[in-house]
Amino acid sequence: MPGHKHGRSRKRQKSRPKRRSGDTPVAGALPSELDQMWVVASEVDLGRAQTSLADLREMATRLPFEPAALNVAALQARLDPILTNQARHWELAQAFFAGCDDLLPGLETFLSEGPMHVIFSPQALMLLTRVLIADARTASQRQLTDIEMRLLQDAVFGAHSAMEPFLSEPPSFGVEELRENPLELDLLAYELQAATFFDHPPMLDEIARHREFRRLATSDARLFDSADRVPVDEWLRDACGGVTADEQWAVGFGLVAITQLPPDPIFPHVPAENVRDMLERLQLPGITPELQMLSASRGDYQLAFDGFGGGAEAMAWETRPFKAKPFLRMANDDLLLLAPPWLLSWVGEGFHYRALTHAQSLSSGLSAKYTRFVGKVVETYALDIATTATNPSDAAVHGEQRYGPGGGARTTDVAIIDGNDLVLFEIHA
Amino acid sequence: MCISALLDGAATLPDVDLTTIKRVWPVVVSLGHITQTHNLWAYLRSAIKSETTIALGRDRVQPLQVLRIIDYERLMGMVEAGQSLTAILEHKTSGPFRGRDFASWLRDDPIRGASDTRLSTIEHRWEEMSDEVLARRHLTEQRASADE
Repeated sequence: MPGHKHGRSRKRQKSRPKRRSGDTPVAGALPSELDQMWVVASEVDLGRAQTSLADLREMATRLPFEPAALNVAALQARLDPILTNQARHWELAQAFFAGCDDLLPGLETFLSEGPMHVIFSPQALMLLTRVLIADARTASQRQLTDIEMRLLQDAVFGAHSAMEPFLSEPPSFGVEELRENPLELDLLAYELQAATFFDHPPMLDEIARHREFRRLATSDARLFDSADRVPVDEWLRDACGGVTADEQWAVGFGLVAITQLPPDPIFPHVPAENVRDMLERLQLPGITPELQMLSASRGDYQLAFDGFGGGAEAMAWETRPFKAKPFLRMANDDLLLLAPPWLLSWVGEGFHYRALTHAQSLSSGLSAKYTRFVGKVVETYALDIATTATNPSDAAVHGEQRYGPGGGARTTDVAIIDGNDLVLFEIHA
Repeated sequence: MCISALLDGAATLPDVDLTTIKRVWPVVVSLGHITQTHNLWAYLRSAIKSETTIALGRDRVQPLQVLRIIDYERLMGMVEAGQSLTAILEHKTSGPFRGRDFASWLRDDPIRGASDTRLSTIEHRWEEMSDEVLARRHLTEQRASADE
């Protein structure tokens, strides 16, 4: 079983970079996942003492919650569009670590040591957000003092090293090893999660796909007679306190527009009055501006994370409460987008997870029924796409066909016959 | 998968003579996030029972491919744009990118000979969504103008 033996694996964050111009692949080198890995600066690289998770949590107790959360959210928002742009990382570092003369020269040297070296990881910032929610002292919005800002700067850099103790033993990823050593499941989860942090699916494709899933689930005649059909729109409405699925989409899209659309840099702080204005413009006066369907107070987050458990090791990869509620609702009801990907998730895959969570709250039987129905929805989607894309004069497309005793077995979800070739697609939803 | 059933005649596809099929391309499409690495493939190989994957070793069966749903959409976008589905799969599986992400291959393989194209239906759906929100907002603005 191959191990995880990359020389600097503990600091590697898997990503999906675009190869920059002038960055020529080495002739004869085999492509590997290392091509997708960016090396994030750590305290060890700069010869500094390494911050542990316990250290980070102690630092958080000395930080005021809302001001610190605002700064970390702003950093997340500015990092999001430049994840794999080394030059932009340096610009961001100069801005965020302004005044840290003991840190910036080391970071500049670190960047110069490799084309895949970067400074900030969104996963480390998520970890810090999680730690702030758990441990920061209560405080409403205000400017950080100089001393607090310096502490936050140290906490941001320290968060990039705080998970390293959990990663010191490389995982083998074999099934038996994972069964015998649950910690390695945490490591596998961390690695997979690290990849998703750097994996930015195009917003257009994500939202359009999930909207089509909902259309198929609610109003496509081909699925009306499905034995597993469930009232998805009704569940979505019940899951969001009476706000219909269409209204959820309009609100989510409106918030995407407020927080993320160019030309303005992403700005995650949405004052309550702006939310009221957006609801007015969208003709949704019946929705309360607290937007509890996609926002959570600090206490709400604490309860949600406690509910999922997982202990300290899970702090770096448990993202479900953030995806379910991408906005922190602050004391004055202003909203704070904790990281842009959470909002994209809410207006995309979030529709599925809201319906699933509601089904789970009803019964395990309904949850299983919903899961089967989603499988049919996704299979139908895949078949539709293949049919649309394929010219009938060139190739034939078929959905699954029954066979075997009593028709109990089925062929793959999509089959395309292209001359003497047969392409079989099995869709795993 | 049903590869053996199709090749051995237990399963059929409408109006298709499966005896003429020379190559079978098995593809698993996942709705979830997957980054294909050596470690992940090793994990998958150790987790899958050999008796359920024996068909993948048959002569006509080509290397198994794993795609994310976004990869599948891109693959179909390329087909819609006129590229050959099997030529794309042949390119992808015949070189060092066989066990890598489809997106990595599209981005990094200098000899892939394929271009990345979005499906027209996805573009249309996005335009419809945008129009809906804009229409809702225009209505409000018109009402505000009338009130003034």
